[in-house]
Amino acid sequence: MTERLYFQPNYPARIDSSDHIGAMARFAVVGMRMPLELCSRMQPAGTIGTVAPILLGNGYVLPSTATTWTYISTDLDPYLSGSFSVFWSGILRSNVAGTLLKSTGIYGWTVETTGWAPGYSQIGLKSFWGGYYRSWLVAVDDTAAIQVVLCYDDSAATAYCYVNGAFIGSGPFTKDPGAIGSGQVFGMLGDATSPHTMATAQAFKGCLIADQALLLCGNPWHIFEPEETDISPLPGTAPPPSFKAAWARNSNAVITGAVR
Amino acid sequence: MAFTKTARTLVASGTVNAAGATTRGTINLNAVQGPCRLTCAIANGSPAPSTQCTVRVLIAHNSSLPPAGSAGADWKTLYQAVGPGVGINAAAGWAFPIGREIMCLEVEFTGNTGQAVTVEAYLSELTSVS
Repeated sequence: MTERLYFQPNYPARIDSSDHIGAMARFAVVGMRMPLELCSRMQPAGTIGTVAPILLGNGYVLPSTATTWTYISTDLDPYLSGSFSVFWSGILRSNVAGTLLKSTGIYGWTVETTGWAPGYSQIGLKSFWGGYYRSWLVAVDDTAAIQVVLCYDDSAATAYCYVNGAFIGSGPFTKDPGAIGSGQVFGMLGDATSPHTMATAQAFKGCLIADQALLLCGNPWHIFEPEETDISPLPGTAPPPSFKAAWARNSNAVITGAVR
Repeated sequence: MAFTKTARTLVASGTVNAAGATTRGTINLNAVQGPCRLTCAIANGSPAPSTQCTVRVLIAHNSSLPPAGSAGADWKTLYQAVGPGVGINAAAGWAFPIGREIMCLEVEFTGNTGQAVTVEAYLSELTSVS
């Protein structure tokens, strides 16, 4: 039995709520055609993007008008619940605008990119109504996978940014002055000619700490239930010595192996 | 160690799920060691359905295979419904892990309106290890 899922699930995977990060998950989609939101089981609406293979598996090419999921998660409303975090993994195109994830009604927030210069992108957290924007300039390779974690700590009114596990910076952030409300819609969209490609997007109640951000960047599939891989014989059937050795090697690999 | 593996068909390739209809396939895994891998696919035609067809994977906690049916007293949802959308000729496939604890398995294709779609479901079964 593996302890974590280490590859992109090609099925509507379940969130592992026994995991310390999985328990915080309130929004999760994985790159596939018609990506189901895995916390609410909400089918997508709006404009549906295409799917393209990328290094991480299936990539959901963000359409130029939003793909949306309409459901209420007060745990991702900073006015009602305070801190929240967003994790995004995929191919980020440089120097273009895009919305990696937003949760909006009258009020809300967006995690977005804006153009800067070829080879660079500004990644930021923006309050939807007030327009308050905290961003960081990041070097971007249009062909390489990137992992972005943006956290908002309500007690400090501060946003934090991690890219590929490295701490990029922090700064003050002002949330909107009201609840998102019953019109809460999650969404994502990309540039018409150079769209971002999403392998997974996840949002969490609470502010992830650096070690949790590093775990997600090391394994974007960390929050999902692992698959059973153990094919040991039925009880009462003694495995041959070679099998025992293989099991021992695999067990060791699970515990100490590098995250891919 | 010797593995005995068996290819199982729940819904044969090329099966047409008519508009408004439901296609189901079931299999009894009580005597199967597992784990297994289930693949399902849905393909739209042209024109496409106005509402997408989805596939849902269900299990039954029964020592004998119950009649095929929707989620209820016997059948419980294992994986939520997914579909390919309503694009013309849109096709999608999924590969579901089926744990060795599963007793009975069902796939259910349903939901398409306006047009028929083509569906299939197959299982690679690890029958036994000796």
